[in-house]
Amino acid sequence: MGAGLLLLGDSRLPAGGYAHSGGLENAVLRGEVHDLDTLTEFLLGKLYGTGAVQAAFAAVAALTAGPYTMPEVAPWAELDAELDARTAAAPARAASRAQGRSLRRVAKAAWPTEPWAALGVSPHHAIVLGAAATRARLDEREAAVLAATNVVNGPASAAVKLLSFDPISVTVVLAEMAGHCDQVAEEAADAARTVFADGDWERLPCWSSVGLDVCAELHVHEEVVHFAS
Amino acid sequence: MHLDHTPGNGGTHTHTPPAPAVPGSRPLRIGIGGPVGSGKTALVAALCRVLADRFSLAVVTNDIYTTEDADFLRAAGVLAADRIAAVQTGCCPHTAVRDDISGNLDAVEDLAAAHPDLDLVIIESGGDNLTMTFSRGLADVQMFVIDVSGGDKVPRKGGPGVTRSDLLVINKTDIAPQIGADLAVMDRDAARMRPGTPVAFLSLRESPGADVVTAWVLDQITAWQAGTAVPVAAPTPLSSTAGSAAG
Repeated sequence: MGAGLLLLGDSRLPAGGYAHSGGLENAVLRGEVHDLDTLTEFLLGKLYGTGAVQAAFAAVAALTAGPYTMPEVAPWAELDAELDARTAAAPARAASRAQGRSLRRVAKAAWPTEPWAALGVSPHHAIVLGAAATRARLDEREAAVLAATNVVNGPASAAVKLLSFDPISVTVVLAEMAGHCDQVAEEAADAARTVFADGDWERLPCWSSVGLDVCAELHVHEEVVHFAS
Repeated sequence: MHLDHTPGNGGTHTHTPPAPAVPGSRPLRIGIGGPVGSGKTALVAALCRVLADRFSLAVVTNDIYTTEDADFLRAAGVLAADRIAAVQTGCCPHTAVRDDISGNLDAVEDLAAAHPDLDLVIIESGGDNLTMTFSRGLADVQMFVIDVSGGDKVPRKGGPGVTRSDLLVINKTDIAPQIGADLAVMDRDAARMRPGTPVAFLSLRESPGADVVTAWVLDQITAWQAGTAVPVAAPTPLSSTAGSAAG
């Protein structure tokens, strides 16, 4: 592990993450999340569902970007389409692309000689994250760790703001999550290596969380919201 | 881990941050910040009414929740709906305009793409406290709007919003007598807290076109479009600001 992991994993990275709750706000509005136990259940469900997919795509993006100069020609469009197909709710796709656009802006400023345009103007967040991870000298497993932790840290931070939870108690929850994040990342990286070897992108993990899709769809119709997703 | 490889851009790494925008090369961005209820949105509406005939304008709002401010501006009919964008701020209005400006940059870029002739983008922050400032990466110049109803002590409380903004607007002066706020005290304190930078007293009831603020905005647009340097608040260390407040 290097400092690059902390750079890209820092919640203060100016890439728009603070404005998204990853479905948590809507789960709070529906009464699904109201205490630390229900927060823990929410985070576990999210991590082992969409989190596993995000981690696998970050890992395969890291393998695609490679450890040296990023390739000019790469299957970014294919990966983009595959992740689109795994993100059922349109607002969730929009949230992923909004954060991907912001992260790409940061990556382009930090590593200006790389061909970031090839990823598209608003690429999915996990794909940019994986590519950026390689520029920060990280490998595919570490890219997956970034994606997995991102999936739980954002909602946990939103929970502190929306439900006035004790931030230390929420950190205890996140400490319990860390092992799960490592496990998800490990499996995601394994899957990504297998798929990357033969380019059969369809075999990338395709878990989903129906409840989160519902939250994402309902959120855009709420009158009073604090978070963009 | 690739401990043996050269980082991504292979030794050509630059430590130079992105260059600031060349004045005139893109629309001027003016930030309008200030506490909740100080009259930011009403001022934005007034500016739009006065300036929309002469310039191509757009507005980005940063509501704490809902899209109240954007809806107000659309309902007021001061700009076409497609020239108003709302950014959601995840409970952190200051973060959206200072620490992580990405959502606002996206909105500004989208407005500029949809309206290639834009002269000016006004970015209104969500209501926040006296420490709020806009990142220079987002706003080329910024004004901070307070009002007399918080009492005449507000300017001397300082805070980066009061001390570092390019223009301090003291709003709702028409109700100062009812509040018991002494405008002379506010003027004196503001001058001491932000020496050499302008302060504007405003009453939209008496000056619906916000004449004094409009004049300042016109100066900024002129300077920007002429490619001359726009005045930027001196980067005074906060500690020395606090010192002058005490003195």
